[in-house]
Amino acid sequence: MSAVPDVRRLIAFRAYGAVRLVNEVQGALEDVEGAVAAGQFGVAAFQARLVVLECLSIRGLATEGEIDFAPGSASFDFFAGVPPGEIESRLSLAHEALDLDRERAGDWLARLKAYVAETEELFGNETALPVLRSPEGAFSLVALTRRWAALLDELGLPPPVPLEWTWAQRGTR
Amino acid sequence: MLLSGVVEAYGKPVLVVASGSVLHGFGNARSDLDVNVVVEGEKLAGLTLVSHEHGFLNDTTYFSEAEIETWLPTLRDRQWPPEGPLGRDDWRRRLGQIFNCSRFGDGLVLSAGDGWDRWVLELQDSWLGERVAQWWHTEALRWWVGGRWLATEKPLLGAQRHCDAVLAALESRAASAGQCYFGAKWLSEKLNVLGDEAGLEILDATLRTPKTAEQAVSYASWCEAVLCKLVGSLEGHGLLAAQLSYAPGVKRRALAGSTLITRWDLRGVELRNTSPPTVEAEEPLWEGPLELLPDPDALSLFLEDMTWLSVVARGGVRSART
Repeated sequence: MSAVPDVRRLIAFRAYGAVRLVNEVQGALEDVEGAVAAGQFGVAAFQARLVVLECLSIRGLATEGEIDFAPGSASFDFFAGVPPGEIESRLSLAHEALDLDRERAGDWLARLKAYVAETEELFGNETALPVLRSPEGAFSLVALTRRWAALLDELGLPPPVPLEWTWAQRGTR
Repeated sequence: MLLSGVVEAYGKPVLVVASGSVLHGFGNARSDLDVNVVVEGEKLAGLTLVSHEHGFLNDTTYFSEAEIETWLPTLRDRQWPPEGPLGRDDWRRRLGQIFNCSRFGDGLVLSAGDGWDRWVLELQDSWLGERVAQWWHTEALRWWVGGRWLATEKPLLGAQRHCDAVLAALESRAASAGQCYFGAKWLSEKLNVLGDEAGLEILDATLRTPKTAEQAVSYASWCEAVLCKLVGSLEGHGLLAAQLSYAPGVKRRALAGSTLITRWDLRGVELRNTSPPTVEAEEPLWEGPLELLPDPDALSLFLEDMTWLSVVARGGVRSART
């Protein structure tokens, strides 16, 4: 048993964190994997930064982090609620990508993937999250969103993937 | 092969264009191939369909004719950034238009019905590359302003914004030199293709973001100097202004002697002896020159992530406080 001092924060962490990991982190991590395999270390470094920042933001959701992950927001705080030591060590992990060569890339990638896996484990799910870039991925994301919808609504919190984002991103009026 | 995966469930296809990093020579074994389909009619399309049928990831996105008809004239003829209130949805809409038009313009036409070949040809004209470069230039300024405003109170986050600003400035530089492919993650590959060694050096140094608040000070100074060279000083962009509007989920409540501003009622900031505009107000929360720090209350709301920061064409500096 563990006491829950703030129910809305707990739900925010698990719901928005899971969707953020599926919707944002997974794709960036796959980009890193593809780039490392192809020796495109500049691309790997670019995307590793995002993997780390997004994972930090997910961890911060449990205490202070903003639930509305808005690409393009100049004030969204990836570091809110994250201890300084963790920020420093994880940014160091991202920086390692800038000095990779083929010999060191495998070990570094394993550590980056382990960090993402540790972040996912924090949700306490019995089964792994769905993979967005899989044949059933988009539907799994919808299912994941629906799973949380009623509870989020009950707590006065918005859906994890706002519909207007989908349409607006497509350039639709 | 790709055409065989296009279905008619959303309407009769009139234009099919393949796009993606692979076609530009950047892609790798994990890259997907995007197929963009315009179908007859006005019905809006659903989610992008994902397929692994041919052994690689294939995203097929459907658009209706009605959905995209305004994109080209809007992008070509309307200035960016515009004057007046400019919120997050406006920013996203423009991003969507420029992103999707780039896909159609620099992709591989697989089939085109009456008139659609000309539509694609128009997107292949030089103006689209200019719009891409302009988008990134404006983004560089927007991130830069954000970085400056955050630098004192949240130096590590401010450094990330300075980083974003330099990355956007390099994107603008690459687009101006002919590398208009919109995918930001391929920046190093675009600079490689251009033989832009100086740009690659800047990119490497930029991604070495500070890990402590102490390191952030010198990093910010370095970024400011680089940005001045890449896009010109903030002071030199006198025809543009920074603008703040409330972010989604914000509520404003009057307390005794103060105003409580919250987001989703999860986080909040209390402003004393002041009365910021109501959330429903159509006017921006604050607007001013790029190089100017907002008034303390507006800055507090920005620092606490209660706002959306835009860069707009200057229509007269004003503060919308009531």
